[in-house]
Amino acid sequence: MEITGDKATFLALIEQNKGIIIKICNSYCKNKNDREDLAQEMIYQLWRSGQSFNADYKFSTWMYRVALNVAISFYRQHKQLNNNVALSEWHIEIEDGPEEHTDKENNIHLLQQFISEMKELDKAVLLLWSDSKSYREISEIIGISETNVATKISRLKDKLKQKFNQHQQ
Amino acid sequence: MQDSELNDIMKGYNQKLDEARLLNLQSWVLNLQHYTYQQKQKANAKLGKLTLQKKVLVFLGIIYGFALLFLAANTITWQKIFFCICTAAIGIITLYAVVVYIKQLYWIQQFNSADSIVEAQEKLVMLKDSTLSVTRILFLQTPFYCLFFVSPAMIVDSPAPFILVTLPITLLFTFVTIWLYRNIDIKNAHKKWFRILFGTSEWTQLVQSKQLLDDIEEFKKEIVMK
Repeated sequence: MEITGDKATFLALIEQNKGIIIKICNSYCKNKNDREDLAQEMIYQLWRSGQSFNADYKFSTWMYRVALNVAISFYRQHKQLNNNVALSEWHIEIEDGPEEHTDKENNIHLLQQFISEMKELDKAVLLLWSDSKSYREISEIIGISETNVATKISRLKDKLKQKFNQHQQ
Repeated sequence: MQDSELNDIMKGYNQKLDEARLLNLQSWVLNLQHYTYQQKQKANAKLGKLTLQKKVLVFLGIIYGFALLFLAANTITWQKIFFCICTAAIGIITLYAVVVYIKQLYWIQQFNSADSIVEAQEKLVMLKDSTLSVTRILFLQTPFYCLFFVSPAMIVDSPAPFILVTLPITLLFTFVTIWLYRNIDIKNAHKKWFRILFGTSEWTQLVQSKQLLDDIEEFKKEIVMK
């Protein structure tokens, strides 16, 4: 199935699934410039990989695979180079949401911090789980069995709860 | 903390991310072709050099390897036995390295970023690791360069230089070569001698790859143990 045949189709698909890009960028990059660069790189790689899309899978599953692979590689490369690429004029800008300082906001901020401290693969699993993906979809994206996905999620949740508890004490 | 509390925080986190906006998405996609062109130009500039380099190396490797084998095959005499064996060995090792090199080029072409995360990242690490394979294979030639000029007559007529100089040097190089062959591995990329041997830039990349390999192994192991 050709998804990059014309820009309008591609744009519509990206528009519908832009939440995936935002979530991954926010989980793998701490600063705004990096998030913008990563988002741009993801869209470019999605455009390039369009021919590899298999209609047997959901579009979001395929998109997660490409985007997460780009994010993990980008994250490592960026960590190594430790520099920011200059923004071009048509860069995507990801705006930060409005800041509030309620308990809920503080917990969300803490969660974001805990996720950012995780290893890349753990982060990917958690991200997919938080997006209400089924174990089957997660296993297809990550490349491990459904049973292993369940085990991994349970462990990650335990780790997160433990971190929240430690923080509250 | 209960599961339900964590789920609530997670939902809130997702909502917050949904509030974030992608600005200029439309105009960016409209400029996608221009960006693709730019990226291609950049990639071609880099890959063009690399591909030419690789083609030249493969071509020279094949010529050199076969020339050495031809030379060895045409000098099989007792007096030139060392030369013959060493030349043949260097030729075979060179051709083997060329085969590994061609295999790497094939893997690079086969890489697909739409593979599952574990599979794709493992392939990337494997590619980095395979660059080391060529180096360790080529190191195996070293002891043969110490012996190719020796002849049986030289050993019989004046054994002292052979026993006191050539033999110890050959044994030393053999030991070092075997040690390097066994130890040039991505798993040793964090060690100091590795950094000295491969330089800072290559070393940094390999250490990163090693870290990722460890993470993937740990990721799989942790699950299996449960």
